[in-house]
Amino acid sequence: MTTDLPIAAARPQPLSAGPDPREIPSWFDDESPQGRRKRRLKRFARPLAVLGALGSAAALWYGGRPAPAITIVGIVSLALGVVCGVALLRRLLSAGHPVIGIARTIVEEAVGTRLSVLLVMLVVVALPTLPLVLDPGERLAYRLQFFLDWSLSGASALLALITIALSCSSVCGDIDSRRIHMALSKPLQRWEYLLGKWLGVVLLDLLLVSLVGIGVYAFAEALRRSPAADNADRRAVEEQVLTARASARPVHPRQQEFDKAIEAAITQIRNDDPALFDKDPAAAHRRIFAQHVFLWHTVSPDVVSSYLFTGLEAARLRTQVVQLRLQPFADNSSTSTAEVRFALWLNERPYPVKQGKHEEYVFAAGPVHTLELPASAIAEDGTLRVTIANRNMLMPGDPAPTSIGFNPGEGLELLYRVGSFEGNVLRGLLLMWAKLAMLAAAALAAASWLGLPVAMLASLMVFAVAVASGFLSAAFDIYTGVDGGNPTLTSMLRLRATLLLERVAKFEWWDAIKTIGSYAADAFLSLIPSFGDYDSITQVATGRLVSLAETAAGVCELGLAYPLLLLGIGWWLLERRDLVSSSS
Amino acid sequence: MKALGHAGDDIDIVCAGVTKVFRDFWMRPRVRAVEAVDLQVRRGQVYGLLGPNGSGKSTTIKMLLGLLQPTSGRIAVLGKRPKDVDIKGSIGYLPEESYLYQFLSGRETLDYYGRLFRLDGRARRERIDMLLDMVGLEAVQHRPVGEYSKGMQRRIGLAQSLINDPQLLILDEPTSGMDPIGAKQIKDLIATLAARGKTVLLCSHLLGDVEDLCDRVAIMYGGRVRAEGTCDELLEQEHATLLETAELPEPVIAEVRELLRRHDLALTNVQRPRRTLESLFLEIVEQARAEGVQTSGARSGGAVAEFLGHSSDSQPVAPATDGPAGGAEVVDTGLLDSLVTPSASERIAP
Repeated sequence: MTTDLPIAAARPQPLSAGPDPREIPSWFDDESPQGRRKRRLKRFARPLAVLGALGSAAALWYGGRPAPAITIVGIVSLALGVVCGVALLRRLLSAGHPVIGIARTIVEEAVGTRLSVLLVMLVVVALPTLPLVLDPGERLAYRLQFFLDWSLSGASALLALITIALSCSSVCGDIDSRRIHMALSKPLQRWEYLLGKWLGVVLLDLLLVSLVGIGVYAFAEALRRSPAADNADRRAVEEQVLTARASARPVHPRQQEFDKAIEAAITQIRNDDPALFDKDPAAAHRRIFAQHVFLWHTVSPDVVSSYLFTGLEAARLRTQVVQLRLQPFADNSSTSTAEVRFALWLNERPYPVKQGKHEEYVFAAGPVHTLELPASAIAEDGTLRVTIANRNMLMPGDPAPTSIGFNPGEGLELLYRVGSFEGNVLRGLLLMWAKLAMLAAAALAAASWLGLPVAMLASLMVFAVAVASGFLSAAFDIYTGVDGGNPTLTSMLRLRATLLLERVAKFEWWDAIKTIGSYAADAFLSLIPSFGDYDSITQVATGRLVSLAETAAGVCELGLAYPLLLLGIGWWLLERRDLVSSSS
Repeated sequence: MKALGHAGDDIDIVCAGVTKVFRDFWMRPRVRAVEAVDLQVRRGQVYGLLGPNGSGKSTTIKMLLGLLQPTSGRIAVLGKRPKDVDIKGSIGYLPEESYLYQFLSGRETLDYYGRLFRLDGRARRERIDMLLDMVGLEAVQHRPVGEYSKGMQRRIGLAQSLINDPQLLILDEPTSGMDPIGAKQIKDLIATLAARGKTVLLCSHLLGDVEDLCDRVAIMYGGRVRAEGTCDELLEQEHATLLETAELPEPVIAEVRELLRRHDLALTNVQRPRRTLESLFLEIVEQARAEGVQTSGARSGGAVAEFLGHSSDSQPVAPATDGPAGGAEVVDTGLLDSLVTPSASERIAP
């Protein structure tokens, strides 16, 4: 006789043939003794590690070694910040929406996977350790600049790696392990899946960028309190590093005459060699313009050059001093240690005048020098005319005294404080986050179509190209012999087509291939935004203003527009992808 | 019996001429996994999909879930395209293996899938409590899924497939990796859900389970449906009769043999029935539990979660076990035409 239960006739009733789970005896234990011991040890290990680290820091502090003590406190604080931040993110992502659910899971994935944890730990340890490697004998302003530059650049690179690794491994892992089958068999659109992944990564990035910002600011403040080499060093720290300065570039005092001179030069070249001019008129314009600007920025021994800075009303009203940043070079000097000597006039008045005498400046040629000028010298209309007279001596063996030159752009500019260091750091971090948001979307788009190694490589390539976009573009132009600086797309295309046809007609096949290569490279570069357009790290490290407009533009372009475009591409690819491959 | 062409509300799955060809990198046809499959599953049915490995069962299921695009043919699930997200809220799916995040705990896993169904926090908590109790994992709910045994992972997989109180439950090898107790619980669960009006598409290698549970069965081989019908239609042997009675002494058997001989029939097989190994196993485990023997694995499951089949949007329907007699049903292509536009149709020579 069988004892089989009548399965087909089952009615709603307890599933089990065994006892009611509520009757499971109280001694029921779900965990082995070893597992229980491990869990208990884990519970106490973390607080003990924190207390141990803080105890060591206290011992070092009272033992007269404050620097390592601060480093240990920094590491512990950042680690605690990560733990608290993740808890906050979990709370934030508790709503019952699929996108939120996916975002929450990627946060858990970041916490639960070794690679992400390792990279985050690297950030947490490297940032507070960096001040230890600074040379205490160096001037404080330089140490601060070095710290700001390297800490922000290093953190930015590490966070980019975390973003790419997490984004790619999450989507590729879901597809490879078929977890995506479970997710997409639920009421979840594929775009919601990608959006959830992106949201999780960018929220995690926001947390890490915030912690990096807090860490960098705290250590910069600690360094600020270190003794400076002298008063000039202290002033440089306050006025050139831990600040936010706007810059003004000069215009020619007689701009119309200057423009006419350029036009005349262009006309002459057109008449002299019309064929060469017509080949690329835009390049000819740029070349002539650059020559004239360079000549204007060169102060010959027998010439006085003037540079007009405008729009300085705010500087005149709000600041005591403005800074003239100049990087002089001696045009016929054979050594880098050559000196330049010059006299200065501000709005036609000699400066500086000490004891009734117009003093001259003597600077080493090559390095950057900053002169502090009184803001009161600025005229009421907000203009400041800086006139420079060359006072170089005739050196033995030279036919004439050396000319003094300044590179147009950063070689001669006026800087003045317009904001605080704190605000600058905040805006700089926002731009850093926007770049990470763009990278996350690029990595997700790559992972929605490619396997993990290829997706990671593609994403890293996008990162590398975005960082080195300007340099790569120029390098390709030089390599292929094509001037890529044409103002319009049509003129650029026309020039390149002409060049290609010329090379083909002359059977210069290798050059023709290089030209085609430049087309492809330029097309690729034009698809990827240039991070150099928003170089907030250099700006923060050199005390230059990261403006609100620049921040808003960067966040809109890199943090919203590009991610939307890339996620759209990722969705399009994922929508058309069969998520199952044949087992046969 | 209603004509199928007008029974749209009663039909949860329709496949008409569905073919799936996997291609290689160069888009050349590589494997023809499913070919011209016609299926029709009515509401409340437990439908079995049988076949050896590589016969196209899982591929068919993935097309029903919208995870794969059919190369040709048409599919309607709950009256809509498989990719339509609206229907996914009424589908529960347990894949052939539990593809879970190893770092999430059992509770977090169910919470994650609850969010994908847009359940609010309270509903999620209530359902998760009931499901954990039902699959017997409430004691290990906070341990990472990576530490679970395969059977425990199957149980959590089963729980996630039920969190939305689905109308259509697609179970791919649901008892794979499970101990006989768990397998028995799942079979009981399927029967219970069917009694509550759920439609179940069951894909399994365990023919006994399918025979016990399914109203209709399709047997696939080489990507094609080779046979389809109710178990009785497919299994009944018309040329034999089996009688069961209490133990007979040898003289009585001789009398029966004589009686049959007078009717020109022979008694071909006389044996004592054996109990099944499953029933013996269950009895031993019950006895061990009663004696209080300790275990560190999953506990025995609790009652079927109360919310299943009793929510406001779920309409219990009587099991539709009375399919048209005399072999395979006619696929309702009229319904398909009204619901689904043809997919990118492509014919490839076999």
